[in-house]
Amino acid sequence: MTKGATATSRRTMLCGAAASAGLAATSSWAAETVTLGLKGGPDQRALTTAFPQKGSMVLQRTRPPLLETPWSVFDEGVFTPNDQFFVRWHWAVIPETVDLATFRCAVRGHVNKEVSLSMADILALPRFEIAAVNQCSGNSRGLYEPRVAGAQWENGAMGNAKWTGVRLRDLLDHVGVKPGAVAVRFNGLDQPVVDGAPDFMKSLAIDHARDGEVMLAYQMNGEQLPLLNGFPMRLVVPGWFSTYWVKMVSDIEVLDKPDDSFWMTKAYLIPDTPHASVQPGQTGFPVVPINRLVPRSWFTNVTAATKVKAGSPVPLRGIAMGGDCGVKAVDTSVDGGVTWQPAALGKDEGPYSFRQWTATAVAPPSGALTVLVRCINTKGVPQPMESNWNGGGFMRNGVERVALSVA
Amino acid sequence: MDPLIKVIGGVALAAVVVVSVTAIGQRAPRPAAPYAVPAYSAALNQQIAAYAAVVGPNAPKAEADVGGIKLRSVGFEIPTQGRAFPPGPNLEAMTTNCMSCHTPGMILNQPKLTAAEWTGEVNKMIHVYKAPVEEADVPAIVTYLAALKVGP
Repeated sequence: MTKGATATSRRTMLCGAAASAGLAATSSWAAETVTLGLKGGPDQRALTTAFPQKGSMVLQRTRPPLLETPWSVFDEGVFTPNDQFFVRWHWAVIPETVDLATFRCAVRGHVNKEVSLSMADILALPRFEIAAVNQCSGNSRGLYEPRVAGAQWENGAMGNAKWTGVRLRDLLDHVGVKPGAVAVRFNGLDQPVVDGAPDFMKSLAIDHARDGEVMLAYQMNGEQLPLLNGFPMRLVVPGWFSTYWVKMVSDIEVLDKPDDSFWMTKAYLIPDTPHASVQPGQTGFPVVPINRLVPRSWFTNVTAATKVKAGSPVPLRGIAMGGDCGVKAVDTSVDGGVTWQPAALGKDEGPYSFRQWTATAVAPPSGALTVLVRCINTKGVPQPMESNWNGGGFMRNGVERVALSVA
Repeated sequence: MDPLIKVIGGVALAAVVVVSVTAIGQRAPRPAAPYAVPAYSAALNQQIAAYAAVVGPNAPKAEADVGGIKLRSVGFEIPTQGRAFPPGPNLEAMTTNCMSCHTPGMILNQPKLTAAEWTGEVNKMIHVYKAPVEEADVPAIVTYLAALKVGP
């Protein structure tokens, strides 16, 4: 009954919103647009500055917000500015106001002492800082062929920041984890729009939660988190995909049995196969929750629109990430991957950070200069030459290639 | 034991349980649905940004200031008004069923999908994500979606 009443009232409001939105129905829905490399379309997106604490962002969806970092930002340095850091929410009920006078984060469940902590309490715990890439599980989904449904990101659903906060281990030691704990589940202030829908929660195995790197961050790049990036604090899981990086964390529950809730058992599952890859149409394969990041690398100073002069040296620049460990090497190739030349690596900001790389290629007398870049991480794992494919559009990391036209 | 005392004891125990659950599982009150917010113009947004780069125009005053790090409460309006569905047959089925959880841009940015694929997506929204979609409207919704013009 409550559900029906809620749905009705929401329906009424929505009709009002639809009517007033009529003006936006024309083709002039965006003053400035950007074209993404999504084969078959739709490839046009608005650039928006309408979101609080955010500069120019690629608008993938207004409500709940999906905002992609414009690609040019990644050429400016290895740390992504907070005001252009990507934004991804599952449910549209997002608090617009967070009052530190009343905000509390519960730590409860299979612990010796259940507590409700203010941000002042959290700030008083020992501090920890780490650079880490936060990458959406579905980053680059729009580049898959055949295409798959879901948020149609190009490559900008990721960012790198220096995170400051408290180690989860220190917080758990503060309350005392009881013997027999197996997992820790995190919930934030966001909630589903409709009753009965699964609230967004994620969990980590207890040993992972206590590994001394998983943390609750209240600052990124030296500033408090933007509201849309999870103010007042979010989980940071270095080396793991962003789905675990719960925003606006307000509830931490230590579990004495595995988490069987929706977002761990039904969503964000990948094929349990090499590179999480299957054939389109294939069924019957085992699946596991997505987990560790994999190595990737990109060009940031050239695109398919870049023109180079025949026979001249072409400076190449980009970023790389090792995934769940550091970057061992970045190589480029101008012969389709038959031979590779090592790129120079920039400053090492830690194993989970982006690493800048530079190289030089020489343009041929005519035609095109097709350049490839690959990362090999410190575990010796290289990017695969060809991208994986799966129906969720998860964990893409094939070698990037760009064809530059020679003039 | 006096039956009355038993009842009072039961009520008292229940009260203690309720209080402790509330204290432990404390969350901010569910905020009001954000649908009525008008879209910001770029100029307005710049004004707001200049006025309060961090805390926002609606921010409460409270701060947490410990050991050299200061956090300030925030309060902003988050834009909610996205693109509209383009006109076409069955438009009404879309506007009445497919805007509760997300703005139309989510749909309009999808690649070309078959009617069967769209049916799968719509059913996922209904059964997995509990979207308030009228089952009787599903054929009309799928017809609209499969006819969407995609690409250049």
